Amino acid sequence: MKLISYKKIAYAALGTLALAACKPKLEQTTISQGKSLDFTKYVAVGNSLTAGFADGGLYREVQMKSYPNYLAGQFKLVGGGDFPQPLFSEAQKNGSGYLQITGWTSTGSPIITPVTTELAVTNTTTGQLARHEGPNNNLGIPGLRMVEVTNASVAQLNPYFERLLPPLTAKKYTDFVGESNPTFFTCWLGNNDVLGYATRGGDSTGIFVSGQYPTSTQGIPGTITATPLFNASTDSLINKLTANGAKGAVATIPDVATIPFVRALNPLIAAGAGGAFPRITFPLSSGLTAAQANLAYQLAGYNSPGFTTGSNNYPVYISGGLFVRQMNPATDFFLLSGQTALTSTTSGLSAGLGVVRPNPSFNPANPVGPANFPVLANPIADNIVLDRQEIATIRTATSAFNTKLRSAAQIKGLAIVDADAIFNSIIQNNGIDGVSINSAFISGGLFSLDGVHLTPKGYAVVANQFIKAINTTYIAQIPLIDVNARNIRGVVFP
Amino acid sequence: MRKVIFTMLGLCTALWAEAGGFQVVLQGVRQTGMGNTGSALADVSNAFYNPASIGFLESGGVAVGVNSVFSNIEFSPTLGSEIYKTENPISLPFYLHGAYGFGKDKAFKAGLSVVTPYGSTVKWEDGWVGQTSLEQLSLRAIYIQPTLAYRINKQLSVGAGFQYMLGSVNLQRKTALPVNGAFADSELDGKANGIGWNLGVTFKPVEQISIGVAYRSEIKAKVEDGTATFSNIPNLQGPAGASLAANFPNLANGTSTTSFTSELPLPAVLTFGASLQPNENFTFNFDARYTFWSAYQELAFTFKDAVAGSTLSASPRNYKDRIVLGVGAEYKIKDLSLRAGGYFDPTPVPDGYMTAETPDANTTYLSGGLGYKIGKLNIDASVLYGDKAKRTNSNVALDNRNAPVGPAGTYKTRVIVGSLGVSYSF
Repeated sequence: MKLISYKKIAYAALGTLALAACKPKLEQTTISQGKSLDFTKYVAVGNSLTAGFADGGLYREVQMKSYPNYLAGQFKLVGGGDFPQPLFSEAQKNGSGYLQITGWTSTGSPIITPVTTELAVTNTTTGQLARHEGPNNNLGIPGLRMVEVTNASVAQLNPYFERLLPPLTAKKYTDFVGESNPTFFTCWLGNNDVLGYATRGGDSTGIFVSGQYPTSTQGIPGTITATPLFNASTDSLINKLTANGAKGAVATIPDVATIPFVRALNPLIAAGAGGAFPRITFPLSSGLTAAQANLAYQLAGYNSPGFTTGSNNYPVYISGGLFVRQMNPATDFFLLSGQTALTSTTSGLSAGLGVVRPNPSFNPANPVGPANFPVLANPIADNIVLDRQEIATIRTATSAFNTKLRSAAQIKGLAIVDADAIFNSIIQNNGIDGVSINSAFISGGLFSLDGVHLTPKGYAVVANQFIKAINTTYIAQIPLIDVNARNIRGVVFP
Repeated sequence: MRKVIFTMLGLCTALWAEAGGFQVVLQGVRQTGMGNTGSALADVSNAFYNPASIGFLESGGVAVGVNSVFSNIEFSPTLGSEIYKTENPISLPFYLHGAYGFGKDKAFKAGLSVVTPYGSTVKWEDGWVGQTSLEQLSLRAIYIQPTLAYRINKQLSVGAGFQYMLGSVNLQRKTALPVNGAFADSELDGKANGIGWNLGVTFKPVEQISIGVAYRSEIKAKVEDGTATFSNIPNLQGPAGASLAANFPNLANGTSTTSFTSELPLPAVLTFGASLQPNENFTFNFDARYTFWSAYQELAFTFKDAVAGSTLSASPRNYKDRIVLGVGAEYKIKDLSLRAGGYFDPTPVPDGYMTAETPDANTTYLSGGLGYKIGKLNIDASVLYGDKAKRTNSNVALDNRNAPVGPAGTYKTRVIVGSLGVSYSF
């Protein structure tokens, strides 16, 4: 009997003690940085994509939403250190200035205007920006090309680089990176080694040097970097980064045709023309025949575009120099920079751009010689079209660059982030890893208003792909970012 | 001899579990002290579980009491490693039971029970990762049950009761908007009511043994004119603004309101209790409760005006019928009673259906209790400790708008109930 009553008292006592123990204790989910990883000092190396560039500029809000900053937040969960960035001050939070949607037209098109207040621009001629002083682990330099990493004068020519250094400092990017002494790094560099050529529409006006176009061995801005130079620069950079045993991740260069700057305008033009890309039917309503139109081009020094009676493939553009070609929207792309010119009602596609325009000095009463021809050739400018040949040139170079980036990463045991696969997956599936996101211009959530750089949501998605590659390569369990739960923003709507 | 009846109020918490809060069953303090067993005993506060139980009372009695429920949930998301906690306020369900015998040893007994189930508030910390599932859920309810029992002979008693339930629900959560990374606030508020009945029989083959079987019907708690309010909706221009505004009815100054209806099935319960009292000092109980949880297949709200394109918001629940098994014992030393017990409550929630308000798991409960008799008055106290197994919500089911029914991750819940009650038999 006594034994039983002691037990009962014990139960009651246990109940009282339990009151104090009501708080549940959940162990933290098993995460680890992997045996070989050290996130004490994570340094990000790259260009504008790494700096957090968006909407055509670099500004404080997007700097805080750069993919390296997102990564650093996750590294912190596994014991990583702080990640200082070269943030613009609150008073100069609009940084270099950027684009924003300020309103809508009556037809529902966005009105995009630049932000011009609270800037950090200290010299509007040179583009110099307010200097950053203090620690900095985000070494992303907008505009930087792989070919420039061993060129000490770039430090003074690129305002984003210049602001990170003491005044009048000339320094190689490789040395700059080496001095940061990372224990872990990410590297996403090389896009600009083809992008400059792409955004110029493959137009060499103003930068042409014989034998140095489209590919240059002299690192001329606006050209494609010659592959041997790219390779040598890549080696210099990766060797510097891994000199003290740091591990890291290297991202490849995505296909140029995935960005809205290249992809977005063709469908818009088609939509504006009633659903199909505008074709040209000869004879024109003015009575002009195909032969006459071809002649107009030859009189101007171009080759014949090959117009025929009946429906023709699309408008004519300058492919290069004095060579013109009829456009094929499946393989040739209008660039976003040409939107205004192409959609102008007075001088755009609907007013004869891409075919012919009236010759103002034509005198029907007194036609004299070939110069007095009723119409003039009116081809679309070279710099707003990226045609099949230019794309092929870019793709050949991109492929060579990516081969080098992958092999350099493999030799050092680094993780590889396939940016091409990421963007293609998003385009095909309208999302990735449970996040709804696509490449449509403005509405898709991936790309920002400049049609080239990403939104914070896009950068967070990219950060997750870096984490997945790091986890696979280094057998780590760094947690991903819950993009949906955080509801990270795409383009800002007013 | 006159039985000492110590009871406290604390029934029907199970009725509210599916609508939020915990699956904590609180019978009288005496029963709670014995692991919520003893439903076959002749006891005023057993009326809710077995209306026949008051048939064997000598005369009548009154019982009143209060429980204090402390509960805490911790959650760790699958994507991430932070731990989020609830900040649940203490809930204080109270109860009142009365039974009247129309004189001593009369066959008929009439009773009235007024019971507020533990009616809890589940409140998660601000900004937790599941804030678009739930920020806060408050449930309040009161049951009124008139009961009639008839003692057929020394061995058999039957009883029946009618239940009227009145309650209110308030649910708050954030809604992620598809533009500008913004969140709107959502609040659903409504009053509910419903009716049900129960039937029971208690059989005493010999004086020392009591066996009780009872059935309580399902109650459909109907919310007929609830109010849904969506606030902090940004006012955007152009097509983006029009597209956003089209999701919210009656939008003015950033706030949208509409009314809604809903129905929560509170499942039927079949209770079996067996008690053995070999002598005056000992009582041993075995209780089994079969709950027809499968009545709860989904939680649906029907809005008067379409919200985000549809008037229906239906979230699957897919609960399974379950049986709870418990044992308990009481030992009396003169005027003092010592009690202990425990029960196992397997969860009706299948994998992938855990929600932020009911992240349920198989639960083990242990209890201890004390009672002290002073003449016709009894004072009882008990402590009940419930530990829900750590459980992970993975492969989360989706609602009719393709949102997960609850955040994916691991939950851990503990609950402690301290109870105090007084009863008087006449």
